[in-house]
Amino acid sequence: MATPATVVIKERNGAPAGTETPITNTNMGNTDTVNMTISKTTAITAGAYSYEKWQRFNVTAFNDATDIGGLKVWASALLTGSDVHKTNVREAGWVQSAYAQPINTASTLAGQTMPILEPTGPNVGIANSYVTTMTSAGETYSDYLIMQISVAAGTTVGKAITMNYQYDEYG
Amino acid sequence: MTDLRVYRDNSEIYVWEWEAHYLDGTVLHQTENGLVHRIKDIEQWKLAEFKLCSVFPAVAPISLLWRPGRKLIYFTRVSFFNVGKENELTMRRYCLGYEDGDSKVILTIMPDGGIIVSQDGNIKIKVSEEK
Repeated sequence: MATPATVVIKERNGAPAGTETPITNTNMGNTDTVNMTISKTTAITAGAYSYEKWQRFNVTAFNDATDIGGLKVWASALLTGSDVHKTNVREAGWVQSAYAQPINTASTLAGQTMPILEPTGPNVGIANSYVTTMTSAGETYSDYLIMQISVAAGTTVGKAITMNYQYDEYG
Repeated sequence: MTDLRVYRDNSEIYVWEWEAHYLDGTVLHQTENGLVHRIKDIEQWKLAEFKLCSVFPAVAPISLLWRPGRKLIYFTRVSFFNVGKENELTMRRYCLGYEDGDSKVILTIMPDGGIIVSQDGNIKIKVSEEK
């Protein structure tokens, strides 16, 4: 029997080079922490920004697959009120970003609104391209997808949304 | 939009494997004698039928009868829905089809065995809040 590839989503935190860890959630808050537990102490203050999230797809084993591509990311819903979930993911005009320590001021890289429906085409690049695929002889990481939440000054209660990730596997 | 409630596939094997049936009666299997063949190993010019067979013997195979000039499409699409939530779901869909001139057809095999026919394989799925 043939074996599929193993693909994980990893998050990078801290100063370059930083550390990179497979995610179990994408909770966002007032610390630069992977797999954060939501609590009063990690909550984002009204009128403030979360720390950016820097994540990317990583093929840890190709097994019997040859290529991974068609990367898509989207959220389950919009945030409420004037809160905004921003990102760099987009279906056109992808620009690869070199890792920089996540910030909790307005991100200059995450300027798009996170889509809440599965996009039609890929919205995360590989090697600065939508058509390049990850291969055992080439890239094993995608480019970074960056996210940040901006919490409006009037927000009292937030909304829980979730993230979806998708890829196509060829053999 | 397809509402997916309970079906999932996060198997550590491909639960569907392909067979390339040639006009001369020979067959190339995806896995054969411990070897794994690639899609690029298929000689499409002499293809008569592209078939997907489930690893579960009770499940009927799915066949694509071939016509010369077509270009074979085959990939699997893996989705991680609601990562970190109680209703987190990993799902693999099997997509087979062809391009023939300006036309393109993709059959997407869903984890419950249902088949959705489309031109691009973009089946947008809504994952229910129910676990």
